Amino acid sequence: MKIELRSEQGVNVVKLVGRLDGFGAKEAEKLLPPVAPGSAVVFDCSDLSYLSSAGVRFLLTAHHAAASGDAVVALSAVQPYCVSVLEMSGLAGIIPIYASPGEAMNELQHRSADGTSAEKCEMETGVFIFHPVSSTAGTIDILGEVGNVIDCAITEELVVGKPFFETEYSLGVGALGAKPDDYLPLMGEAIMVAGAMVWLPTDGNNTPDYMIPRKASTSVVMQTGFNASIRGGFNEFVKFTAAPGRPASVRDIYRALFDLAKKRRPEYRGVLGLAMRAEIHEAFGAGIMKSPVLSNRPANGKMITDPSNYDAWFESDKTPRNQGTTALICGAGEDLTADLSRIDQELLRRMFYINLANKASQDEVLHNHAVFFRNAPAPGGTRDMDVEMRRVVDEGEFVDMRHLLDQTTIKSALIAVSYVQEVREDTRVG
Amino acid sequence: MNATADFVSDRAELEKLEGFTADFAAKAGLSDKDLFALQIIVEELVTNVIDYGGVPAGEHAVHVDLILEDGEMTICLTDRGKEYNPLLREDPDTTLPAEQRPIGGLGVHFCKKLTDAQDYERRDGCNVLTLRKNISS
Repeated sequence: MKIELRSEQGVNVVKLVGRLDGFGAKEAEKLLPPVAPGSAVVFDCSDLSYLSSAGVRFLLTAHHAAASGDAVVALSAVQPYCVSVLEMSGLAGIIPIYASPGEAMNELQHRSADGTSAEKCEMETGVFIFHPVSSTAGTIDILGEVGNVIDCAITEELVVGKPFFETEYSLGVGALGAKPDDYLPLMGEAIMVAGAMVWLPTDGNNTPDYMIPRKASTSVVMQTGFNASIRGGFNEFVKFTAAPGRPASVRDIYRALFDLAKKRRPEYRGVLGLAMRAEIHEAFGAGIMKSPVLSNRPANGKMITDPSNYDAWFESDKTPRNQGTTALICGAGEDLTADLSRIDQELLRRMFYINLANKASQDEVLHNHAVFFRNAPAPGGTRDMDVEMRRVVDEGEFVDMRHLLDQTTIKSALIAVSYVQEVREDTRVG
Repeated sequence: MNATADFVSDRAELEKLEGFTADFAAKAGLSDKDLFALQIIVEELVTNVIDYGGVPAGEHAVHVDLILEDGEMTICLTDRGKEYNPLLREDPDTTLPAEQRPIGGLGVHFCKKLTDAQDYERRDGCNVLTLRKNISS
């Protein structure tokens, strides 16, 4: 008896290989990892050749354990003789049986463990399942402005020391360093999520600096020329699954969330703040390569995003930077088709700009940063983004960090959504 | 057509059950479906003796006879374990919700479902259980 574990689209697949007899069931019991609360487990029985009452008990025990932790268990690809055993035992009416692991995963993902509060929306982009989290008003708090970055106008006076907060979802352009001479020449793309701080120093090495401040001995202050933080709590926790074989772009996911917000959320003001744990199909990133300080300003006096300067200033992926990674994303989007009149336009402009590497769109402007991991554990099935992200940070293997381009494609994601009510000046500075 | 095998009191013995029943099925020309049923029956009953028969671990626990004659398969188990007639055991209620499901009794339930006649007797200090199954050819 063998067990093969894999994780697909947020569902744990346990492949049972061999015979679940009195002997095999004991082996399987030893090998089966505990079922995480709130998770979904699919037993792939395509190579299970035999099943006796001991095997039935093994499956029933797994079902009991799962049910007590708000988790669900399903069987798939069960061979005909084994089906007859399940029928004789009555188990066929207790544990759902699907034709294939894929079909089981689809069903389980679309099913809320409590079955009550979730709302499922099927869009062309994929399936979104919304769970309410909090009704507090979300805000985006802005420090500095992105305009100073693209104008290459950052000076010592414009840089603000921003302390690190334990639960922080923010993106910006900044650097770590004690004195202006240390940090000003290195300012680069930055993201803070799940207690981790990652930035891409513009030192020419193109290598992100990754740290977990809660594990550092001293307090960490990011020197930032521009920073946007999503604050006030997330309103909904969303499970997204792209249509099979058709990974969805970041742009499409935002577009669908915008469209659904218009229909579903009366308080929607045209701006979303997101924190996302995404299973990446193909990641496209960009990164500023020189520190956007006044002394580096292009000789032609134009913005660094101007076509004449863009290539010298930005490294921008034409081919996927990575594939099959898990990304932790922090970002925000402005829906240009919505009524944005209740949001402070001046503050909005301080966070959004047009990046040439993004396909121009009349309908939305997005700004996302991402940190990429490999070998991340499967989602734990909670509805707490901080918990889900910390598992990736603690158990995954750090790969890279970038400004995330809109054409990045995603297979599935957990998304915490804030229906932003106000964009404000950030006053929590150090 | 007949075959016999002996099992000692150890669950690892179940690994040899597959070969024993498959050999018999090949010689007797049993269908895959009947072989599957045969394997379940023998495994359930042998496991019961090993787990509950009170035979010290590693000692001879049960003797199995398989016979195919005139379209009828006979499965006969003889063990020196403590006296126990599994056929008297009430069938488990397989319609109960999962949470109220008893964990035992399922194996004997399978054996009854998969055979056409069952007989038990206590003979010479042994439990002798005989199951008969019509083999449709």
